[in-house]
Amino acid sequence: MSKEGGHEMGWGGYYLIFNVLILLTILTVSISYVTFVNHAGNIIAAMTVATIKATLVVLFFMHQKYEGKLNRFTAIFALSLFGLAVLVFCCDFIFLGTYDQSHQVGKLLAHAHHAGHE
Amino acid sequence: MSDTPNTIEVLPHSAAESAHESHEEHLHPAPEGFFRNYVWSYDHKVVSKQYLWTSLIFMILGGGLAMLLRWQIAYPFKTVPVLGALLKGTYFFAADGSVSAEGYLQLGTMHGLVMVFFVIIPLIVAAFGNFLIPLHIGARDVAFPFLNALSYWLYLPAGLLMFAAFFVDKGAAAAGWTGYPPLSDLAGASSAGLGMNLVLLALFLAGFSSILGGLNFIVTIVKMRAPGMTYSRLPLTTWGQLITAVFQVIATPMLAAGGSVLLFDRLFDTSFFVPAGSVIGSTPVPNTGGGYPLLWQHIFWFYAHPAVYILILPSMGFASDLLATFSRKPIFGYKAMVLSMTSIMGLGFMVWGHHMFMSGMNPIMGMAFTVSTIFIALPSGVKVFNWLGTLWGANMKLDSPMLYALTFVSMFIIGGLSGVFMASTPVDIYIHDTYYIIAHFHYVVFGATLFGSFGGLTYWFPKMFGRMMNEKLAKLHWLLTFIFFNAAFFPMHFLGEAGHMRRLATSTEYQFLNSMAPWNEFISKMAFLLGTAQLIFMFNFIYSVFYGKKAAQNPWEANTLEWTAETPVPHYNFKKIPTVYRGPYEYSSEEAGDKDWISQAAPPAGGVLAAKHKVSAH
Amino acid sequence: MENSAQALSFHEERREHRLFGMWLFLASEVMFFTAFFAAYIVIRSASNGSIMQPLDKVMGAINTTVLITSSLTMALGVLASKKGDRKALMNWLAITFILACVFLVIKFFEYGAHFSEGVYPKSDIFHAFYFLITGFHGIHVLGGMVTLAILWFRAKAGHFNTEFNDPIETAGLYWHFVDLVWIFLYPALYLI
Repeated sequence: MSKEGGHEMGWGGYYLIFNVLILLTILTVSISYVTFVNHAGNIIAAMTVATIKATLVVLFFMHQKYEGKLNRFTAIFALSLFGLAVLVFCCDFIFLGTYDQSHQVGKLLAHAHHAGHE
Repeated sequence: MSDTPNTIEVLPHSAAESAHESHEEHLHPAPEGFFRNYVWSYDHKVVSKQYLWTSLIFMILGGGLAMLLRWQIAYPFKTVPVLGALLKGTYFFAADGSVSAEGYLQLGTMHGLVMVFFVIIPLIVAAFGNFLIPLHIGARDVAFPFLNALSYWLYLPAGLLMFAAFFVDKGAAAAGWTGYPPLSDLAGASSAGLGMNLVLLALFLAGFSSILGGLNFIVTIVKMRAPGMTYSRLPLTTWGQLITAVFQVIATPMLAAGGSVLLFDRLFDTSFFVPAGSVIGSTPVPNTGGGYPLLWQHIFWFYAHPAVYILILPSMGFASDLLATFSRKPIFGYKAMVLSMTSIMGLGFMVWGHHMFMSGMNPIMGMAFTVSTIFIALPSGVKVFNWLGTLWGANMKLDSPMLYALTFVSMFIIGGLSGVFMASTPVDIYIHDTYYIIAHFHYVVFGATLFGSFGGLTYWFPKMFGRMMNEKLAKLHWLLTFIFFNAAFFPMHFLGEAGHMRRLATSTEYQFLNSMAPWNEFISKMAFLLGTAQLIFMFNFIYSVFYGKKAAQNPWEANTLEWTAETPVPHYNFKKIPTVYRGPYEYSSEEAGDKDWISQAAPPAGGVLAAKHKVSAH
Repeated sequence: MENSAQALSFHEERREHRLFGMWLFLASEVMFFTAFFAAYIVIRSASNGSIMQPLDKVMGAINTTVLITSSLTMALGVLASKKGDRKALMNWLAITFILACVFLVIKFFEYGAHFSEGVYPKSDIFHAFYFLITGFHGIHVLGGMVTLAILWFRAKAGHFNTEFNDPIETAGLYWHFVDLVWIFLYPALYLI
């Protein structure tokens, strides 16, 4: 990996990262043709590879490895909010339960609301 | 450079500062011609005034919408005077000139959207932020003057689109400002067709304007502070703007995304939010179904809750500055004020579910959001106590800006307290979607934010326009607004507790609401008087711009940097970029000596070199 | 952020402003796509995966390769601009532009294939997501292409040199972000 101007990346470094990204792409596509015992395995594998590729792009192509704290903080803050949104949205939906369960909760709430009106 | 009309004498202080200044001159020379001076301007002060005038005009229009609403509530099915007679059968009027039911929903929806997106945010963030931020930090302009100009020219067309929506077939959006599906995303459901799409497009443009503006302010505040202006010496107004800008950049895109998905449902008949088996009347909808209305609520409130902090934080900053200046005392607990604002920034993204307690979402989430919402009340409480601490033992100057600022604090307490009730799921089950909620948010947005803005306008008017506003008229406006505002909105708490629903075009349908009709009439009368009282401020404002008493450079004897600039402020702001030696609230301190104030930029008595070590501690 | 001991040059300071500004903009873009991805993840999980439909993996893989290559060429373009190599910069910008075109053409054929089979956004929730997310991604690619074209003309006019090349660098960040979105989009919609 040749270095240019001290702390910057040179074309050699970029080519190296590029090749790694292509290899990872081949890897992830190949894995997708294999069905794991539990489909969740496919999801985990694909997302892990995607995260690795993304990290390489952010660190090297986008220079984050050489950036200051400020830009790093901005990127991480945004990503954590993504995580928060997904987490809470999922919690709500996954616990929606069967029709009967949510129906019962609904009836309870309606009763409370109605009782208040009288 | 010295051949141009605006010759600036650059007085170098040190090598660093002269290098800093010379590239500030580099930034953009003084504009020439009407277009560059008043239309597409790279001067933050001009852009701020563009926002200011536009948002004040939208305020009048948005207030007018509310007046029509209140007419219908107080006098259901009676012909609206003047307008109703002229426009009967058209737009939101029924054939007899009264407000129609669909029209009522349009009015309510548009009143909310216009006030939030086209009045308050442009006023307190874009107008005040643009004017004050560079002056407060000792810079010559914002970081990206081009984006600044662009932001305004995205906002204005967006505002015009909003009002254009009234004039298309079937009128403007009518599903509430919160736009819940299925009402908002089925073409046949609500009264609006093209109008709703135009409104969504307008919000998209306004949101983009907001994001660019927020980005601009963050870079400006972080990167362009004058020498010696450390974070701990920033005026609280600037801190408020910084935190607000973070909310704008991070939260607003969620609204854009949600709105785009809603548009997909409306334009391409997708079913992101449309449940299976939906029918309108007995006609099945073209959308195939399988979507979740709850999903919209999550996406929308993920944005709209941080939005309410956007609506309050700048005004909290104004209040802090005003209270310190007119109490001639430092702000009590500066660090705590900053910490509470940053914790609001962190927590503000984690409480959105408290708008959804009645949505049918998982009750466990309800509990989680109750906890986080109660937590976020704490920093607000800290701020209130610190404002009170600032006032404690103060020799107050009760000029009109101070009266407005005091009103901010007291109305914020009321609005904040009612918010605590809503934070608790069991209580909210009862008061959700009632007038209690309406009372709450009007207390915080009108009572707190808008009074704070009136204070800011009267306070910074001399710096913006070189003249003073008429003090007597300002005090009269304050008194009448205070009285009529409380008279109109306080009773709404009781109406809400009694179960009076909101967004109700025809309350006469419900027998149990009949006993509240006299209250509704009273509230409406107070609201009409409240609206009329604003004419005093309008007159005072416009008159004073042209004929007000000429202002001194620092009429309030305040410490912050904007008062070291000439009045009116020249294009380049400061002849020489100031060096900051102390915090913004050094009132009645020993260093001030005989005076009870000492400017942030005044060199210390011991000499500049003695303070050098303080300056370089960035 | 000025240090009184050592002042940054005008260009260096402006570069810091512009880079920070672009990172903030990208943070807002992350939040924009967050809404779509979060909605997709949620609805897909809630359905236990039953909403899934197959897509053309090979076309998608080709597009992935095209975009990653365009990221490389963009990075090389930024490098060239920093070295003051105007010719190389213009070439790399042009190649990146062409690769972006290839991407959009492939997407055009993919969309066409769907439409000819009668598959539209409204057909089912999965395709609604597919058209929504790839559609907005495509709009961002288009915006990037417009930027690249403008930069190419500016480079031709000699605007950039070793001292001043910020727009190339900030455009590069934006372009890598567009690639980043696709890196997640492709497996999420096509592979799993």
